[in-house]
Amino acid sequence: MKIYEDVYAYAGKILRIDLSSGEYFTEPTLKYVKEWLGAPGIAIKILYDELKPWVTPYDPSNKLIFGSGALIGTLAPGANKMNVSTLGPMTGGWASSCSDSYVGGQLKYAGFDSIVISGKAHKPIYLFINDNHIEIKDASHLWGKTTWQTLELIRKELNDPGLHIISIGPAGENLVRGACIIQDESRAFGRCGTGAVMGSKNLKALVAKGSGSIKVAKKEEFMKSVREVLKMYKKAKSPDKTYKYGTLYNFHTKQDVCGINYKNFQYLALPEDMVKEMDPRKVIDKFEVSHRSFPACGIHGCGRYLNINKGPYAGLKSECNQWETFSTLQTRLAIKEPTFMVKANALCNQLGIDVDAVGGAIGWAMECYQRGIINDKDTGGIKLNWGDEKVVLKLIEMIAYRQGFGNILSEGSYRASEIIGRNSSYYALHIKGQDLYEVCRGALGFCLGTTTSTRGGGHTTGAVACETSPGLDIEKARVMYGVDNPNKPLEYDGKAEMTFYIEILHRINNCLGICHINTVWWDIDLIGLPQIAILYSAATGWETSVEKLNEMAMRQLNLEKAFNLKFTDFERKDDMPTPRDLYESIPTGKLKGWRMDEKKFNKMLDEYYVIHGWNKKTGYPTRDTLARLGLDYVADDLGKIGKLGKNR
Amino acid sequence: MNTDVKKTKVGIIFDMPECGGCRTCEIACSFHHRGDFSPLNSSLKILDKKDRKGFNVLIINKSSKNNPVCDGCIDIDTPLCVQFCNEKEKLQEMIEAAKVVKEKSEK
Repeated sequence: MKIYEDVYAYAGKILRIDLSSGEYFTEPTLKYVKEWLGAPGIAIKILYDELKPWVTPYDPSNKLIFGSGALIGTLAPGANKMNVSTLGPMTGGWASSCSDSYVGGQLKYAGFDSIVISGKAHKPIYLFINDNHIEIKDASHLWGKTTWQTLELIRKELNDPGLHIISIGPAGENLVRGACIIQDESRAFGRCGTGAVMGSKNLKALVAKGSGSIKVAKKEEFMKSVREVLKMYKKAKSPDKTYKYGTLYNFHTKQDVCGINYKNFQYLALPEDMVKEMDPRKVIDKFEVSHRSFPACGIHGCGRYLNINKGPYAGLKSECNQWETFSTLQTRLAIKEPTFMVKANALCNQLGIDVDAVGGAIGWAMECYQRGIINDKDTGGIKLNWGDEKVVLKLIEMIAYRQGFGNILSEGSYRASEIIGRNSSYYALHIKGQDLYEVCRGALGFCLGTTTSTRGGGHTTGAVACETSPGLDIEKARVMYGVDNPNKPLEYDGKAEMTFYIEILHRINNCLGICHINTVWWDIDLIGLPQIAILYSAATGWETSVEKLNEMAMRQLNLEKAFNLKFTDFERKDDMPTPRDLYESIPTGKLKGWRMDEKKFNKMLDEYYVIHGWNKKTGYPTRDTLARLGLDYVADDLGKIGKLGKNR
Repeated sequence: MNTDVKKTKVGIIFDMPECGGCRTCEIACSFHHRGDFSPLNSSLKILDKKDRKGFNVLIINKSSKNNPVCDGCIDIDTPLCVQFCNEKEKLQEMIEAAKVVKEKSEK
């Protein structure tokens, strides 16, 4: 291994490994980070520069890039989110996903900030990174195994019960479009279908173990800053609630603000009689065994380990799911049994499939069945009635193994509706091909960040969360976002500015490895860009202002955008909400009768493009904007394919 | 008071049902000893428990090749691991207990 110039906070090296030849080499992280900051920032630069335009997601020449952000491995609050990025099969463009992780820290202690994986192994393998020792190990015996079995077998095989791994399940092996990658047993690199790309490379798992260290440049200053910002977690209101119930604590708020997906977004609030019955917090109260947390989390963890010892799923031991699974599987499919969410979540994790991809596809199918668009003939005799939990669990398996009707659903709702036809696409709720979990009606900042997301439907790359937060410190939010109305979810003004702010924050978080829930995105009283800039500066020894971070995040966003333009046909229409969200009024709940105003949404989207320096008509970045960010070569590329935004 | 579950060659293993397994203590401990973040080089180890009711905490109180001995962070008021733990009192008690045992064995 080459030895590079000493660098603080970063591990220093990027590992490049080609699975076709088994060869690997390293390069210095310093080559990238002054412009691209870390993990997904490095990844987009590599993917944009190195993937030829004809490459497809499952092509061996696609690259799968794992990245561990600059603050991972230190004591910076929430710094444990590892990233994976690639050309993804859900949207056909930029795919990028983060997960709470121990592997991220281990990777850095082993000396690597990122691993760039290209090629395709000739048979199933797994990668074992043990400090400088890189081993490609046979995984034939692991192929077909669930992620839980894989974890157990690898720990046994490597004789280390404390090992942490990331792996794919049968869904990734079977190239299920929504397959995801699982960390140990219960944390997922969700959305985007990165697990299918991993499967296409015959890569079953990645194991990292490191005995090295991460150094920070200004030790005392860094530790002082860490201690200082940790006080914010004591004062803020959300950490106690998150600690107790994870993101499920929001249940009643979500019901109040019409933020629950019920029957595939036909309704955005639960029927009143179900509210009591379905309160997911009761499941934690009843079955909790112990707490679960990840390194350096300022909240001390949002996880709960459960032992379900009663009811239809008695015998199941698993970490409890978070809100997303509850809304995208339990309420979306109208299932009443409260422990179903834990079972479905565990099953998806075992099979290595994204809960939103499954919920989107089954939700679409159930609604089509409700409307008589598909029938028993299509489903092979399976009756797709709302609330039938047995059928849902069966379908999840059929999706993961691509069996029968599950084979169609395994493509996600957008493509399944293209296969079935019969005007069923209206009920496929997706953005850019990626199934939606996000409730877009009733919260316009959340909506705008979701619909414009470069990775397709997703709320973790720009969607605003504070609009509907009860008890929001409005003055603080006004100053932070620079708008008058940060607490008005139904007002169109100011949402472009708010989305712009969160796009930056989310990218900085992902590049440094900080969990969003530990930041002002989730709770205005937690750390934000000013604190993050201080931590990063002390850790690296490079004085880095918020403005500098903003610039890096915008450079990254523009390159993500250009990457999508290179590989897809996305344009303005693909940044619009689904027809259901745009044209249907909210049928029940406190926002009953509210409907999006298409004209106003378009004006809001215009504002969004203008703020970014993108062309209003197409959404394409202009040369001026790209040049300002040092991306002249990207402007040249976009010019060649006729996708450079005109200035007016 | 926590009861120790097992004495090993290098230290004492305590049961900690309240522990969420974040291992932030290991990172903090390594910083105390080395001034950088290197959890393998820490005086305490978080160990998985079969029943998963929390975790076990191994506190190193005897010299060994790989691990620094817990010195209770004598130079500061509150041990660094304790500062970063959500169950401060519990962890503090274990460190005290490990120290007592160490003192006894030294006599």
